[in-house]
Amino acid sequence: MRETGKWLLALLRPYRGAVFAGSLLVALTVLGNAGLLATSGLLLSKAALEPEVLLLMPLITGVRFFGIGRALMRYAERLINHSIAFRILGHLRKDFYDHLEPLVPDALPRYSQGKLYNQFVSDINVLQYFYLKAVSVPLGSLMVYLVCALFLAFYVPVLIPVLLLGHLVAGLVVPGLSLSGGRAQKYQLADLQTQISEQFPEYKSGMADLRLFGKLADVQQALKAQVEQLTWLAYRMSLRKRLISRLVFALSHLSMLLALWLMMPSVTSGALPGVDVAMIGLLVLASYEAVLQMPEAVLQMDESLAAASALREVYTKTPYPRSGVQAQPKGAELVCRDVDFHYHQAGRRFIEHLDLTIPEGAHVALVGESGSGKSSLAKILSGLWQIDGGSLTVGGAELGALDEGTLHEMIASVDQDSYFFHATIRENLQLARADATDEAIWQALAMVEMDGVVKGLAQGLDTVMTENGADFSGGQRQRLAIARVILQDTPVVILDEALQKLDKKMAQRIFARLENWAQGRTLIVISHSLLLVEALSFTYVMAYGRIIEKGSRQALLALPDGHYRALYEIERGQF
Amino acid sequence: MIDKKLAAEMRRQKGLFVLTILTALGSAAAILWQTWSVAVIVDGLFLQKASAEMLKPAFVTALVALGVRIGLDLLEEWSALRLATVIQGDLRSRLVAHVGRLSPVQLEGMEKGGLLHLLYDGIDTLESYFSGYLPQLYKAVFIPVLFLVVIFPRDALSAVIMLITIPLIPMFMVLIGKWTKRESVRQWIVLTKFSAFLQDVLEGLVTLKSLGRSKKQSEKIGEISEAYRRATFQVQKWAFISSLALELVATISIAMVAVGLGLRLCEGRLDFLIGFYILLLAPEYYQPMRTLGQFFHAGINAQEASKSLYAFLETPSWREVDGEFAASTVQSIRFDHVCYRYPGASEDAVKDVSLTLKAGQSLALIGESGSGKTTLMMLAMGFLSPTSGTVYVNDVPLDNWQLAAYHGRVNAVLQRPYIFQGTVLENIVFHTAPSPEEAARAQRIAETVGLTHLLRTLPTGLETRLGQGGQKLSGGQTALLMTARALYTDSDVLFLDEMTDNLDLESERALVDNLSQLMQDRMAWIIAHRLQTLRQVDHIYQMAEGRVVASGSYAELVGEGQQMKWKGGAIDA
Repeated sequence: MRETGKWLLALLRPYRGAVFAGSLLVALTVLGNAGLLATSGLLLSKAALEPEVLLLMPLITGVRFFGIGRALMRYAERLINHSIAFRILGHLRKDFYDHLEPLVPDALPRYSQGKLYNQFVSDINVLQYFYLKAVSVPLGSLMVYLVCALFLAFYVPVLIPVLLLGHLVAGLVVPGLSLSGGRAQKYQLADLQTQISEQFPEYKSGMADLRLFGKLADVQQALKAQVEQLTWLAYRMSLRKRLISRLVFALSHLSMLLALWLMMPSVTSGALPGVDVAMIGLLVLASYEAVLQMPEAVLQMDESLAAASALREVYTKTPYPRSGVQAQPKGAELVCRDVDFHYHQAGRRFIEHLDLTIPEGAHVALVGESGSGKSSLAKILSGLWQIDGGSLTVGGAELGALDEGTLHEMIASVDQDSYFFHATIRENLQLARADATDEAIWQALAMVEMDGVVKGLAQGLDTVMTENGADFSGGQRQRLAIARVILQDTPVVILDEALQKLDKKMAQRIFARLENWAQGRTLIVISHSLLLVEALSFTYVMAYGRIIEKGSRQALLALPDGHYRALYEIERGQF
Repeated sequence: MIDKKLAAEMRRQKGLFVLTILTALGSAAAILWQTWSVAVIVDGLFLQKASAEMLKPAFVTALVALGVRIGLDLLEEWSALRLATVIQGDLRSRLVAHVGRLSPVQLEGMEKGGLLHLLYDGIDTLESYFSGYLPQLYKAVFIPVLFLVVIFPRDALSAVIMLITIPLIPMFMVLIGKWTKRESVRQWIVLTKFSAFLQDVLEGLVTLKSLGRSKKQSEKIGEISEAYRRATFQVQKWAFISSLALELVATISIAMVAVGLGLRLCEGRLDFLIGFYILLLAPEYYQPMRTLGQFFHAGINAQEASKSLYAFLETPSWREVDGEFAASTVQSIRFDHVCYRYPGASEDAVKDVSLTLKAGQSLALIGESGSGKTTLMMLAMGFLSPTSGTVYVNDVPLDNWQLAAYHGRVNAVLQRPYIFQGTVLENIVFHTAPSPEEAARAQRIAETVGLTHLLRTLPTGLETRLGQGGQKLSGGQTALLMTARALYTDSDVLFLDEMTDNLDLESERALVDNLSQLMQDRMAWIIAHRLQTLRQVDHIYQMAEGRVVASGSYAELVGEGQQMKWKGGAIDA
């Protein structure tokens, strides 16, 4: 907690000046209103005594000044403070990315599903309000207090500690007390939400089962009860928040009455001119304006701490150690010796004692049933994940020790989860090779039979892809991903179930073209469909994280009781 | 200003709404009372040179009035929030119930996250609508009127200023809102693109990494964040202007009232007590209207959200009236010239299909995806009603059946099974806490279908917990679990949508072995993907573009010497 708090404050350090200025604006806004009311109070009091209008002119001007000044100040405060908040946010985004990037994909195994990284986005967005609410409001409140205290020192010093006490109770004690009670509810709410988020879609998509098995009424009843619980839990949390803010408000009025009470002796003794009573009373009341926002600031502080502690995990982790001695690969032969791989976690091993040599320029298939370890093998051969034991070399150099530039000049890989960014088709394809010409792009698109589709779009290559290419079918996205790998133009190419979503005939046509294109390159094709890869000259069969059979298709089919043969029989029986 | 449907929801909770408005008015009256006491105190201290003893009653009154005011405020918050919560709870419950009124086919057409979003966030926005915006509409009218009634007899001129200035607030709100709207919309497009950028990069980080481009993004994030900040600044420059205008109207009006009061005091046309009282009231007078401004956006958002909410709640069910017929067994399913067209489609998905499935028989549907197999099965299960032609069950049109009675004699193994939070065993029995006899029977069935064997790698076997936070089963394990569930439940008809994806050798073999057992003593209706299955059914129907294009037994259609036209020649039989 303390570490997280320090980290949060460190985030503001480069912006010290701006934070001070922004908080000062908060204070000036509040003081603008206090000035308006206090000056008005004084104006009325003076007017009651002073029959000369001319003498009231400065006060009248003051009232107008504060009236307009307050509104303008508020405008400036909001505009500038938002700008500061975004400046801090921008810094945080870049800084966070710089820390996260080296950890991907394998130093944060919890997020092994790529899209989970985006859950950090909401944490970062929470911190957008850290400065805006949790920092500028308390600092602004403090400044308001100091100015008021200074002012009171000239009139009724006894009110200085009274006001401090009032501000502290209303701004910190009451919201703080409510916070500790609200936390348990917050966790309970999050828990309920997770449950409903899981069960509601299940209820919706499992409707056929629920009806056929006569369980609809039961499940619906249970879900309704949970939703009801959620609604009323949210009610209790919201009610608490509202009651707190009303109580804090009551404190501000109480504080003014107390101030008036305490002023009485000074007025009676003549130490305080009666003409100032209205002004001081109104000043005390108006000084609470920023304090009234404190319950929210305290909540925001709590949320910020939670979000920050989620982000800090990234700051405290170090990249998974790269193994071996850095060297330049000579050739592209891939060699695995006694490789172990278990996604850097204890427990089940996905790949065990694996030995494998793929000569440069070979075209090989890697097949096996689901869960056999073939996708894990694809992940380590692509160099994205570090192995947990043994040695893996390309052209004699340890794969894990290659610098990233060299690695991506050597090996290209594509799986089923390729992502497309909110950018044009051209930009998405040029990610593979920044200087790819339109001609090369069209060539690659033709190989995957996407040239027709892209030409058919009004904007052609300039068409913007949104939401991970949601406007394209799964098969079309897959083909674009393969085009990207073609453009990357590396000596080693790994296709991990990359033709999975295409219809069989098209997959076969594209595959034939890829084979032709890959002459002279190493082509490794991971597939659970034997049919698709039967043209490849050599096949490895994986099971239980090992290679259990290898050879040509004919040789494998000839093995009595062979694993390949069993898979073949099954595939033959399906359509 | 007020959405009709939402207003109707509110009318059902009239009591709470009236209580909310009344407490708000009561609180306003308490403000008048409390403020008067404060004015008396200040006047007493300043001009009357009153002693502490003399002012004590005024202090007590002020405290009591403050207490009453806060008490009423708390009551108002309570009733307003309760009003909103009762309506929200009711709408949520209706939403869940309505999902259960629609057919699986209707539900599949609805967006994945859409309904869940509506259930949470959509209905969440109604909180501030019912507890904030709607009561505030009334408060913004009644409270200023109450204040004016009190102020007018005391100082007519101030009352006139206040009366004239207050309509400026909603006027500015609407005018400036319109003026800044176009500018904001234009900028928002830029903004949404920027704000999604980081999410986009993080979601695709693994892809960037595998393409070796991840380092390059760092600078871009910096640049885009800066551009984002500048664009936001442009948007807010305009957006905040409307609140600036509202603020200005209020503060300048207060200043005008104050200066006017000062001048009249000076000329001796007014008492300090009255003047100070009105000055204290001025900010309170403008407050309800300013608060309405704050709720304005919440009001608009809620009305937007309620549109999609009611659109869903008003989606008619595919079976608005249930039939009355029921029978204890299902003996036949017959399609008589059945056609089906999906709403909004230009072509029938099922065209003129006639077929019969009798007791003790089985049939298989084959055909490419999109040929109408699934639609046909949904018609047979009663989850769609034919656009023309009739589906007969026991020679009674299925539309005349009590659907639940028919479903009571039917079960299914489908691609999208319902798996709930509970053990594997409980999922076979399909309810929690099974009796010892039920558990024993489920265990036997799990054994026979090979599920027990397949789950041997899990330390707790059949007691393994599934669902949230529990184990995730593989495709093969799920398929076998569904088979066990279908066998556990007594039925006359089995619908089976064969799974072939993501299976391992072991479960594949178990599924093939289990088929005959599943078909025993039941009519079977299968969407087939295995030659092995075709060998075991009595009748095969081949579909293409919604029609049955060929039918017959395995021997007639697939067997020795028969060319399998429908396979695209990929595999030879």
